[in-house]
Amino acid sequence: MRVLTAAIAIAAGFLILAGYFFPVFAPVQTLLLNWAIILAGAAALVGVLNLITVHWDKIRRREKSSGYSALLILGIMVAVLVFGIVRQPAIMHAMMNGIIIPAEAALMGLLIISLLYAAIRLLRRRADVMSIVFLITAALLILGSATLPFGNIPVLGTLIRPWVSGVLALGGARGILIGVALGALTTGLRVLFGADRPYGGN
Amino acid sequence: MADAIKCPVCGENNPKEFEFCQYCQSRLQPLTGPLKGADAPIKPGSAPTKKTTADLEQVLPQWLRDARSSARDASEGDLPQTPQSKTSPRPPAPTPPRPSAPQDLLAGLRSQAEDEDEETPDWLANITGGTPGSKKSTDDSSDVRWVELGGAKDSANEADTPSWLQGLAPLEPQSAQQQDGLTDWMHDSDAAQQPAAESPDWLRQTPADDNDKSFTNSADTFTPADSSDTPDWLRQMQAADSATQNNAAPAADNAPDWLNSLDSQSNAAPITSDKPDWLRSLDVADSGSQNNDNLFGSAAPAASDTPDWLKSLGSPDNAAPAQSSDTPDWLGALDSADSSSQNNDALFGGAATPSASDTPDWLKSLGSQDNAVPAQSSDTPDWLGSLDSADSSSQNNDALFGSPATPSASDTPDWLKSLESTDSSSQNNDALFGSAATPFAADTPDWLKSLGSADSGVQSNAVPSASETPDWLQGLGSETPSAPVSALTSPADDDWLKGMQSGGSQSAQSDPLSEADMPSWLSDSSAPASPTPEIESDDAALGDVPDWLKAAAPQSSIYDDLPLAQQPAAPVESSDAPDWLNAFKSLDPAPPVQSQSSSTFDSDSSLGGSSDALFTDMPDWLSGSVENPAPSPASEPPAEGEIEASQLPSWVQAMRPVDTGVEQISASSSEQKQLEARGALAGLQGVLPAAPGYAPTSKPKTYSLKLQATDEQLSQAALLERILAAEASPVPIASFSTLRSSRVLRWSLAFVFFAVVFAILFLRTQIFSLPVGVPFEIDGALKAVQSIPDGAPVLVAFDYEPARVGEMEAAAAPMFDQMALRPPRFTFISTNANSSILAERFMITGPMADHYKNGLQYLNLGYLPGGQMGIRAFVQNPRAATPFDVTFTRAWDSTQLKDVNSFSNFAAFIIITDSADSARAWIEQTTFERGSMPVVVISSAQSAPMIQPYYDSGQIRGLVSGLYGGAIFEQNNAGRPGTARIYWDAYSIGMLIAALLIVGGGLWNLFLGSRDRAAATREVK
Amino acid sequence: MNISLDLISGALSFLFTLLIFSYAIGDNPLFRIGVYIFVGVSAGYIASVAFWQVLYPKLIYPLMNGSLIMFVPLLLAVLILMKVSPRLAGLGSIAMAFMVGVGAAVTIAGAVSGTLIPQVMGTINGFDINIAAARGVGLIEMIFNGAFILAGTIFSLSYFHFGARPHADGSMHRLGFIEIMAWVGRIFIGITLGAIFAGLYAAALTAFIERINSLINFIGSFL
Repeated sequence: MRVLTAAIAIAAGFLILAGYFFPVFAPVQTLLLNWAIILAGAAALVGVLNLITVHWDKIRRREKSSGYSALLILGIMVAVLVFGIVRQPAIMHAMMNGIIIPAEAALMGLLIISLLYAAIRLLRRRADVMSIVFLITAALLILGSATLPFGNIPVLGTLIRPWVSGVLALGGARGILIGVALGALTTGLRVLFGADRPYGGN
Repeated sequence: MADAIKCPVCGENNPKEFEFCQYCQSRLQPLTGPLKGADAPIKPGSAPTKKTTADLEQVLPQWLRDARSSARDASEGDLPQTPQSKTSPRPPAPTPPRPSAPQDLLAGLRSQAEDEDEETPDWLANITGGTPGSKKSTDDSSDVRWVELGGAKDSANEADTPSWLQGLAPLEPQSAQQQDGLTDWMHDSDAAQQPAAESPDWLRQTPADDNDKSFTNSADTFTPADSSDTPDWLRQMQAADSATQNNAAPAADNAPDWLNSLDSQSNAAPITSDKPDWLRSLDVADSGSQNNDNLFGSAAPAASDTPDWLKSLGSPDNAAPAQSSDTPDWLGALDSADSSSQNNDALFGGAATPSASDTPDWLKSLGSQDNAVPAQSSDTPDWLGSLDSADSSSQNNDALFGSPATPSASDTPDWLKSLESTDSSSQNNDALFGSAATPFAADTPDWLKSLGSADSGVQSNAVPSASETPDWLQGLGSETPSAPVSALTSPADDDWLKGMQSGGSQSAQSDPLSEADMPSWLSDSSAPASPTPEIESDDAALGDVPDWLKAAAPQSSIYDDLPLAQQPAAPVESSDAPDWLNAFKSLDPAPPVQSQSSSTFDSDSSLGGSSDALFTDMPDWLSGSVENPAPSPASEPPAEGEIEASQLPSWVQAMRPVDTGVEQISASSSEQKQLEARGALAGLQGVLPAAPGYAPTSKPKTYSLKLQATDEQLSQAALLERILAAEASPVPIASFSTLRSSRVLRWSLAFVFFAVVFAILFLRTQIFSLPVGVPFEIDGALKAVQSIPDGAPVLVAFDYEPARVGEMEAAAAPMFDQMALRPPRFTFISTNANSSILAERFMITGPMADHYKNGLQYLNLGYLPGGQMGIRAFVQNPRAATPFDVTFTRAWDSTQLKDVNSFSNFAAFIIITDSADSARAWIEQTTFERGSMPVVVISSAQSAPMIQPYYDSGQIRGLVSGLYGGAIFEQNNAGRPGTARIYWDAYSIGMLIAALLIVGGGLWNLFLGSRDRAAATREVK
Repeated sequence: MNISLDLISGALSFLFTLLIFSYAIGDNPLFRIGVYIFVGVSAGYIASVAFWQVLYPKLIYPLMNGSLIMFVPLLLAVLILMKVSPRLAGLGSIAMAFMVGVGAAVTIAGAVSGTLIPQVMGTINGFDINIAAARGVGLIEMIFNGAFILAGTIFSLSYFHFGARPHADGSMHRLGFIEIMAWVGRIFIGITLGAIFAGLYAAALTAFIERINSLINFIGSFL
């Protein structure tokens, strides 16, 4: 099994790579990519099924939070009913606008409290250069993003903020992006050469 | 005397067939003399110490002695009766003995002995009869035979024989054939023995056949060449020894008159006034036990002139049987040893008389050398080594025998040579023996030569060292050949004598054929094993044997295995012992050296049955007694401070099982042909040992508990210990008090923001101005959007979470408003499952609802799973990747995509995303296909810093991020107020409050943190 | 109907917003109820989308139309569905291997062609006068900004350089100049993270404003 999975991963990977450089392999690449799309959709189903299984077990075991699990299962059933069976756009939009967007946006909104709380107390726990630079940069950019009734905050909003975000932060972000690209390249090569087998099968 | 027997009690005449007087019921047929005296109770733990009645005779009143002698004379005529009794069915039960029976002092004990058959206590039964010795079949490579079991040839004759007597039977026919081979003096002795009139009473009961047969085996084969140089008296000893082993013959011609006379004396009147008492008893016992064996007769006279220790050498082999309880321990032990050995060796089997306890060490070792085999240490003087080698070679074939013995013979005293030759004859045929004995004749004193020759072939290994061996000792050494056994295993010097005994036993074991030569009483005591018809016939003659003695007979078999185990023994010897002692050690049964033993046995097997028969003449009790020393500690070199074996009681020595057991098992494991000696499986070959795991061939090594480590290792270990200790020891660290979550701060922050934002939004204030200025990225986006032709297909990727709806819609709405002025054909696609419906929301119920109602068209391709894989699939072949839209309509047949066949056919590509990764994925995967297509990214403020590099690198035309970007773009959207404006006051106030809180709160907490760290540092210090 | 749905949608939106905002005073059952329902509905929605927008049009429909080649992804999909069962999860590794292999190849190609080379080229182009002129940037400003971008890129990359050599005392340290560059890189990264934090806060604040605005709008609809 271990050899089989490794062989599949390596073969598929090299065929996809060949499709980038050799037009002959483009149809193969397309075919394999479409299969991968299908499998990704199936994987999404697997995730949902696993979620159902976990919470169903909690309900069956009558655990402490089994009531919430029941609500979760209920939410799944309702959503499947609305989005999978009824499939009425108005109802789907209503559910999206009434439950998903408000809940998620509210969670995002609450983040400002947590972010501010963390930023305020950061230097109490860790007062090193990076933390200080981090907070200063954050403060400058936040402050530079705001405006006053009469316009941008002088210097800060017109010079410092654009320069920090467009030069200093750009340099750091580029370094990070290149680093990420190098990491992705290395990881991908390790997978293609069988050194890493994150797909299991051991 | 031929017609009637006069009852010794009532004086009435009885027909000679009658065993008991018809008038007074007194016994007419004499019991086996020596056995009669064995009624003495055996002490617990002691080997059945058989005594010769002769020992007790001296304590008898004169009148009784006279009566006994007269009775013997009178009973001589009974000898012809024995054959009859042999063929007759076994008598039901021996008549109760008459204490006054004149034939023998202990004759009256017969019935008592019978009664004791059942009354024998367990401890005695265990000691005596429980363990018939294992023996090797005649075809065994080792050629060792156990008298008790007998060979296949014996079985027929042993049918009626008591089990413990079986081994004796087969010897008879052969001995008869070889009768002619006897030398004159042997003939004389035969003649003296055969006539019943000349035989003592106890001897008369021995069947005549036995007498004839007893000498048949090797009388013609044994012709020691050295006999000419051997002192007469020793030669006679040798001859006697050989005679008992059927190889005997030679020296009779040279026997001095005094010896011949002694022979006759021993037959006629076993008790010689010149002899010491103990020797006298031995003589009597010998003559009686072996019946026709002039050996004993001849040995007896020699004993009178020889030192006591030598006398002791001579007697016990033949010696006899039952000993009275008065017998000293050492004598008893010897006897028992002899009896178990079943050796015919006249000299050394019998010579074992002195027990280890009273004999000097060197003598004991000499005894042990009987069994001894080859092994010699380098420290062993040559002359002593020859003794060893002689022993070992005793089981070798002719070639071995003749040649190797040669050198050793040069220095061997004659008397010792005779011993050797005697022993050798016991296991080898004539040809062998002659050659083996010859060399000894050269320089060896005659008396020693005789010893040496008596000890069978042996000498093969003795060769090298024999030259230095004192003559007299060489003979002793070579004497043991027949018994490779126990003496070798016990290097202990103090057991030499036992070794000798066991050696004798060995020779007896190797020749069951000669059992027939044994007198009936001896046969009784020697063969407890399987009852055969012949045994029954013998039993008729042996009916007088006390039951306790019958039971005692197998006792010798307790150590039956010993010879086997000891045969292999050999070479190892302690080099610490003095030379003269090593010599004896070498003769002792050495710890197991199987290779030698096997070879020895092989050679023995080649000798044929005749040599086997030599040793089967030895009764069980005698072989057993000879074997007793085998297990003796002689096999172990005595450690300092250890109690010398010589000080142990004989029965303890006899029962020392350690070495013997080890060797025994090892021998059995190495030689599958060994017969099971005891238990229900007795007589079977290849029986697994009772104790399976117990087959140690050597003492377990002792390992020191102290750790063996070098200094370097110790230092490293100490270093490791210190490291571990340092790890384990608590180290105070500068820790801060746990930062407890400040609920007040959280609530304060929440309250402030809720209040401020709610108030501003509720009031719908527009106090704060929108941001001024257009950054490059926004300007690029604006220009890109403005450059999109009317009705051109525009691909829009909606990749944001519902949580960012407000921000993303606020950022994207101005751009779409801008585009709606010249409506393109929008095609939406999402790599986020939630975004597909968010795109619908954006167009239907969101900022673009008015445009949608006004006919703004779009095509939603829906969810494209797989991340970069899906993007790549779509970019490479959009039709194949997304054939249908969200309504499950063929997307590429719609008017929105009517002229779009590939990704590059889109006029612009707009990415609305809150994730830098999503933007990066789209940017990366469209690199090859997008060409000059303008790509604009509308991103969340969060992901903008990570998307900025792509704008800087020119991969995207513009970037609009967050509410800030939307507000700027909105200002360039023909001034139509949008969402950004609604949110902007709250946004600006929220940003200002946040900046102030971060700066103020950060500085305050920096101060608090510095104080805490300083306090913690002080605590640590 | 629409009105009713809008009302229901608004009410649900109002309710769930309050449920979630209740977390501002701490964890409470209302917040949990809102979260569990939200998670359930999202999962159900995703499952529906996965089926109707992926599996059905891309797998089931072609199979129903006789595309035999689609049995391969069907088999792989079945195998990956076995991941649900702990006993059969091992079989799913085959499909996972296929996905990992394809994903690795796509990532390699995208990283090299879409990020690595373009970003390196972008760093170099920061000193391109023509590009600077096109953007209306002066030479000094261009060089100044380009130098910082270059320094930020290199130092940030140095920060991710974890190669080290053992010292005499057994400790592992980076080379001296790399250590210095990494320290400078930390500053650049700190600045970048600060910018991200500011953008995150701005996004969160926008979401918060949007939610408060929705609440006000819902309340205002009844006024």
